[in-house]
Amino acid sequence: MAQHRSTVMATAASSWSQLPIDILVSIFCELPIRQILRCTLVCAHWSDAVRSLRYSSRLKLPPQFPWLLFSGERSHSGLSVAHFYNHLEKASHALTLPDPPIHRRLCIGSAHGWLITADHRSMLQLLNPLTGEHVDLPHLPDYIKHVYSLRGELRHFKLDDFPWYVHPGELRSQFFKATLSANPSQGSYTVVLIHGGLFKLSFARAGDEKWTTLDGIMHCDAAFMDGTLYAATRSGGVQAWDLSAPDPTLRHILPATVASRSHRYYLARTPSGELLHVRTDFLFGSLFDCLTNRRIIKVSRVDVERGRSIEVGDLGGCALFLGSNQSICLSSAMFPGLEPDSVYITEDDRCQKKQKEDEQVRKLMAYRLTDDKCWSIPLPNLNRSLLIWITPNICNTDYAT
Amino acid sequence: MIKLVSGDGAEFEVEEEVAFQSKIIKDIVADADDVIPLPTVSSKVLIQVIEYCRKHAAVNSFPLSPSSSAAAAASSSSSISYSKPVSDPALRAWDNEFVKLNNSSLFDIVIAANYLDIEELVDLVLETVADRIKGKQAQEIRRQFNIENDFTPEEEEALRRENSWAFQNN
Repeated sequence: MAQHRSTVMATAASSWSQLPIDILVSIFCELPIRQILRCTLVCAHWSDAVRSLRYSSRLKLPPQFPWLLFSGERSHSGLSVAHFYNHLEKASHALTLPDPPIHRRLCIGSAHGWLITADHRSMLQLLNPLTGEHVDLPHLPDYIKHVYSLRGELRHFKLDDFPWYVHPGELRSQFFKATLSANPSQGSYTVVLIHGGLFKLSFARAGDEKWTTLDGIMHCDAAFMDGTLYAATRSGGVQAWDLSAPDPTLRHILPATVASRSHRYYLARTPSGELLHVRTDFLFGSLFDCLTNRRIIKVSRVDVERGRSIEVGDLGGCALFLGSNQSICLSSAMFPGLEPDSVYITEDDRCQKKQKEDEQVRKLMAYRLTDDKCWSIPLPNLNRSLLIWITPNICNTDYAT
Repeated sequence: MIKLVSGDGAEFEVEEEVAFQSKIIKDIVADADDVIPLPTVSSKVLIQVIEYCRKHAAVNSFPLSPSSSAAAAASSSSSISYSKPVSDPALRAWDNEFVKLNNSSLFDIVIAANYLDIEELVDLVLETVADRIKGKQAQEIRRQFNIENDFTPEEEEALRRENSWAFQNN
């Protein structure tokens, strides 16, 4: 073999350390993110290939298993450290993040590998914990008014839709959930925020200096699909917003049913592009005492054209990840150990606004649709003040293009 | 018939449908004669590539049944479904046998397949290589693929620090 090659392939690559970058990148695209990063240490050429993958904005990596961000702290050397947990691998990862420190931020959402956080001054920021990239979001929606003291100090905020003054340090508790239309490192995106006493919906596009508040109240989740913003209301309704027009237009998809304090609604997009409307009906606190055989999570497939929904008895082999994050729906066949037709849901009590942010030990549970089985998933025994799903994303913004 | 000439001068006569598994050869034949020199491909590798093309040409010559082409269309229309189009299980098994080669032979094949633009063969080898990388640390990968560590200790340490979470064994 060596003889053949010596004459005819003198100019061609002759070893795995010289494989053309595009071929190497195609190999890496088949790997989990952690394995891709391990390949950076193989040799300089492979390291270049990984860098090329991380900066190529057109590339689509296969779905990654979501991590749980469960706590943050200030390390001994003064760095902001976040702890993530992969419950399939039972592995925790500590990542160093840029300031402001993660343990003093409130995580109000995650989407496309980015967290949407509010710091102690309620400043909103996008943060990709794997690349350390961050983007400041526009300041508060317009209807939140500053109230100053006679000496000119900021004393309170006043919200049109909330009867009391809000202390500056507590304004962020008025931010209920946020999500993104796309990965900010790949160019344009829209961020959506559910906020205030009436759970209004505001959005801002990349580069906007202001939020635009949409009509309507009592929202609880939002999801983008095919360029349309779908919003779920706390009374079981679903709306579609076309944000591409100068004046966003509204279409009602599902009517409101009955508002119940025990119901929570989520929207999710399946891998095949269908919209799911999920209703949960339980309280985390009581759940673990009574592993009932009751249907505590109902999933319906939404026909967005006809404005109908049909309850489904399984998820077609997929698994759902719900919480403050943008709902994630993955085929369980791709992740051994993941239960098909199951919903993995994090405790998220931020609809009840009197949380004590630093003292919580939030829980993770799973529920299987096909037999109403419900089980709790053990988590590292640490402060779990954050507990939010996030899909690891190692793609950096390519500022050259 | 099309005549392929390997880099070391061996000649191979193959049917058009076998040779046309390579998009490059298809393009060349369209505006040239039927003797195609492939100076960068050795005869040993060319024999293996022809074996692959012969098998796939035989299977692909049957038109896709409506159901399988519909399945292929459905899977390509969904942008976040990554499952490969359902392929013939017998062919899949044959492919799996075909790639039971050492890493050095796989390397020669992927270079040749990439040069000849045989997409399915490139994908097959890449998937195989990805499977062989999975779960391994850099040192094992280097050993398995015979790659020299060309980092200085400082460079390696810097890379290790950058993504330290990925290098822990847990």
